[in-house]
Amino acid sequence: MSELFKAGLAGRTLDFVDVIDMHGHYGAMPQFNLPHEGPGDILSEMDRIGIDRIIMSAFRALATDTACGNREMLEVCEAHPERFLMHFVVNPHRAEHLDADFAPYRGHPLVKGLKLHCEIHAYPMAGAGYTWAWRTASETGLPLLVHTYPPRDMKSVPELADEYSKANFIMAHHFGPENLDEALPLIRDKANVYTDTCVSLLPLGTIERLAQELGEDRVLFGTDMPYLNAGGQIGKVLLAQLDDAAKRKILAENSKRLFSL
Amino acid sequence: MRFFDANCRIGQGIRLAPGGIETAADLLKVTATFDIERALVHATESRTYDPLTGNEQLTRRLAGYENLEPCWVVLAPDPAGSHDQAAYVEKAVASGVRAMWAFNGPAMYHFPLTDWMCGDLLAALECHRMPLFIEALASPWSEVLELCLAHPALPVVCVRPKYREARWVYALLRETPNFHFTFDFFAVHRCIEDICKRFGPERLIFASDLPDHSPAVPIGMVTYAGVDDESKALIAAGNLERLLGGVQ
Repeated sequence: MSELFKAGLAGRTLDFVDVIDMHGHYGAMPQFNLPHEGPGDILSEMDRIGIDRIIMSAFRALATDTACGNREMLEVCEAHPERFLMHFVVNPHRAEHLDADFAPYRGHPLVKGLKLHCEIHAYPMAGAGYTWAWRTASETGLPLLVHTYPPRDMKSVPELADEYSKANFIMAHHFGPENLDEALPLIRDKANVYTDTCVSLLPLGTIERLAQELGEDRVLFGTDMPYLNAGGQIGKVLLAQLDDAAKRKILAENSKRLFSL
Repeated sequence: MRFFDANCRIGQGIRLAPGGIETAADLLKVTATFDIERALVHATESRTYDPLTGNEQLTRRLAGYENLEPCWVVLAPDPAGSHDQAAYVEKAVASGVRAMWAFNGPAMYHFPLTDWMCGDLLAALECHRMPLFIEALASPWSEVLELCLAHPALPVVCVRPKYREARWVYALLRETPNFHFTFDFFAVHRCIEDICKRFGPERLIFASDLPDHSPAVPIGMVTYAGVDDESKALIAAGNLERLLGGVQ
C-alpha cells in the first residue's frame, strides 16, 4: 500500500507532499445550504488536509456582479498571498468591458487563471463573448478553467483547442463522469487540454481512467471548495489505484507547471 | 479506521456492472482494496427484476461470506393479493436479515411508502425495528417526513440525497430522530462537521454505492473530517452496527 494511499485512509495531514488546489471558490452561496464562514474556514480545511495553495474564483463574480466579485477575490488573496491565488471570472455577456475590467489584474502575481462558467452564465462556449478569453489566454499564458457540466458544449472543445493552440484549457469536472466515453476521445490528442478531478460523483475507476487515457500530466487536483467537500475530493486522488509518482503530479506538479507556481 | 459499507450490490443487471463486479468474491476484492471491513449488500435482481427471485439468490450467493451481510428488498404492494408484504418481513427476520430496501420510486416498483398503501409492511418493519433503506427522491420529501413521524420506531436510512437537497435533509434531521442518511452524494463543504455540531454524529451512515461508485469520496469525507475520532468511528461503522443490532 503506497504512502499516499495510507495517508488517505488515515486522514493524515499531507505535510510531506506538495498539494495545490487549482479549483476553489470564495464567498457565500446562499442557493445552497453551505456551511461557509469566510477565509478562515477555507484555511482551516487547507491546514487540516495539507493543501498548500488554492486558486479560487468568487461566487459573487460568477453569479451576479462580476467586477465586484473579482475585486473581492483579489482583496482576499492579497490578505493571504502565501495561500490564496485567483482566477479572474470572465462574463461573456459583458465582453465589451473585459479589456478595461481586466486591466488591474493583468500581470498581477496573484492572478493565475481565467474562469469561464458556461452553465451559470448560460452562454455557449464557442460564442463570440468568450473570444476575449481565448485570445487573452493565448497572449498571457493564463490557463482557462472552463466549467463543463452539464457537457452541452463538449463538441466545441477540439476546434477551440486547435484554433487557440497557445491557450491551455482545463475542462473542470471533466465533462461529468457519466460522459467520459463521449468526452475522452474528443480531447485525448489535444495536448493543450487538461482536466481537473473535482466533481460530486465518482464512478469506480474514474481517476485511473483519466490518468491512463489523458496521461497523468494532464490531470489536476481541485476541490471545488467551499462548494464540494475537500476531504472527499482529496480522497479520490489519494485512494486511486495509481502509484505515488502519478498522484504527486496530479496533486501539485502539474499545477505548478501550468500555473507557473 | 473500521468501515462498514451500508450500500453495495451484487448480481446481474442488463448492463455489465462497473469493473465487472457481479459476485460476492468480486465485491470483496474491491472492499478489501479500500480497507472496508464489512458491507451490507442487496441483489441487483431484487432492484431491477423481482425481489422474491433476487433475495433468494442473494442469500445463496452470500453464504460463507461472513463480511457481506444480505439486505433484502421489500415486496411491492400487490393489488391481486398474491403475496403478503408483512409476512415477507417475518420471513426476512427468520432468515437472519437485519435490513431491508424499498425501491419504490417511479422508475422502479412505483408505490408510496404510506400507511394507506402499505401500512402492514411499515408496521411489520417498525415492530422489528428493521432499518428501512430508501432512495433519495424516490418519494417526495413530505412523504419521507410522514413516514418517519408515523413510524417513530422505524429507523429510516435515506440513501444518496444530493447536496442540493440539503435544506430538506437538515429539516428532516431536525424534525425526526429516526431519519438517517448516507452522505456519499452529499459531498458538501464541511457537511460532516456541521451536521455533527447541529445534530450529533449518529445520523450519518457511511456508504459507497459499489460497484457503481467509488468508496474514495465518502472515505475521504470521514477520515479528513474535522470531528473527533469517536464521531468518525460512529459514522464509519458504529451507527450502522447500532441500527442492525437493534433489530428485534
